[in-house]
Amino acid sequence: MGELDGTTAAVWDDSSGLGAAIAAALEGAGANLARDDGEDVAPFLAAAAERLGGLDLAVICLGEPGPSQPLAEVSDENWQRELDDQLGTAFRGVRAALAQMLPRGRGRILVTTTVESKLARAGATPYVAAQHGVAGLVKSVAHEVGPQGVLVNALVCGAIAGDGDEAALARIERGAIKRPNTAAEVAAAALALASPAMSSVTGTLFPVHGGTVPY
Amino acid sequence: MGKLEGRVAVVTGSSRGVGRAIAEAFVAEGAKVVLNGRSEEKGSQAVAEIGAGEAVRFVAADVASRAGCERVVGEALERWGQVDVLVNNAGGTVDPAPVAEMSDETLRVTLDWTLWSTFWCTQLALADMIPRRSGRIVNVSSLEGKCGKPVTSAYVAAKHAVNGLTKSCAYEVGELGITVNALCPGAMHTDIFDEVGVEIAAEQGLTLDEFLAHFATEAATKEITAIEDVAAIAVLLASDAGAGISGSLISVDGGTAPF
Repeated sequence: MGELDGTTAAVWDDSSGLGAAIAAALEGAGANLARDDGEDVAPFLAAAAERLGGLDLAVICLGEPGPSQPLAEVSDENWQRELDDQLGTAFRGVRAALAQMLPRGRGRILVTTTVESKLARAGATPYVAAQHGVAGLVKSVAHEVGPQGVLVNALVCGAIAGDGDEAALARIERGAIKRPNTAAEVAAAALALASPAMSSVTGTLFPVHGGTVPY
Repeated sequence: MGKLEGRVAVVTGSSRGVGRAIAEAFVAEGAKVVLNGRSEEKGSQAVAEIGAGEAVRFVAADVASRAGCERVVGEALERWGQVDVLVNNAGGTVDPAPVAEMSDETLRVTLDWTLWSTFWCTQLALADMIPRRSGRIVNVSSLEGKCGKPVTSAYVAAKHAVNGLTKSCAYEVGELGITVNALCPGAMHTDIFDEVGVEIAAEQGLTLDEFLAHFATEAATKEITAIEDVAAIAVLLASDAGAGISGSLISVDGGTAPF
């Protein structure tokens, strides 16, 4: 018996590997799972809910930042693109998930963010602003839908082994565990928050970053 | 196969309430657990109710003294030879009052019970964890470790200090394979809350139910914190898969704390 037997879950993944690890963990716990095939997040979640016969859990794994650029040189187009890729995607995904969950009076939504949802990163200001926006979205919407049985959380992920750039490596050195995180660690946290038995964790920026964020 | 198979855990203040729930969740995942509380009678009852045979030991001791902490952590070392997981759950306050009227005794007892116990047990457990380069420390802090509340200044100060200890200690031992985190639950309807909560509520002219309802109003879920959820996150932090989480103050409060 898995802890997610009978749970329907959809994982939308624009990241480099987090979605696959989370999907494997959910499937290992018995979830009935749908994964995207490159569709946009909202139509994917709607189709997944229809195919699975309802949606208990939606996982939205946001993508990587665009190319590094000082804010003084960022064009309107690049600013808009980053906001849309991160915050826009999170918004459309959460809204689509709520369309499935609110009528049923229950649901769990997880959005993967990075430490840039809380911290600065020079050269990535549009991404940092967008990620901070995602954190605000998660906190606020949690208060809107909490009484209706839907919990919304963000996983704040540290640099994942294998994809750290210079800024990420410097941050790891200032953290507690002095190593990158692993996708499996993110997946284990996702699994804990996905449990239908969990009722008290919402609006939380759940840390999986080895102590690289001070608050 | 449980997530904590073969692990030895010490949970202070665990004959009832959230400590007991954490201890039971650990046992369910295969851990051996030292329970602790001040009352031998309540401890014996807890051991009998958990019904896990030799996997659970109870030590009657007050962890508001170093000697008490030595007995609790020492039991795990003597019986099972190691401490893999320490949960500093014991803590609380007495005679809550506004700062303007608070006694020295209230602050002293609260700090001994909440902060000093965490410090002593942490130090004793680290003496075993550091040479083995492995360990998990989970401090059961509180929403009051992040936010202020009237008439609970001693408790708020103690829990804020526990959170500070958590963050700093995590940096000291992170490279040694030891994680240190704090859980920050919102109000839970435990029997301890029934005792102390009544006094704090009365100081504010509220009944206990009104006081609990006030906590629920602040949460996104409009409900108080479920004890089982705190235990579930403690299992994650204590497990192998929790190795990447350290120095964090994790809210389990239905979205109450603003950060």
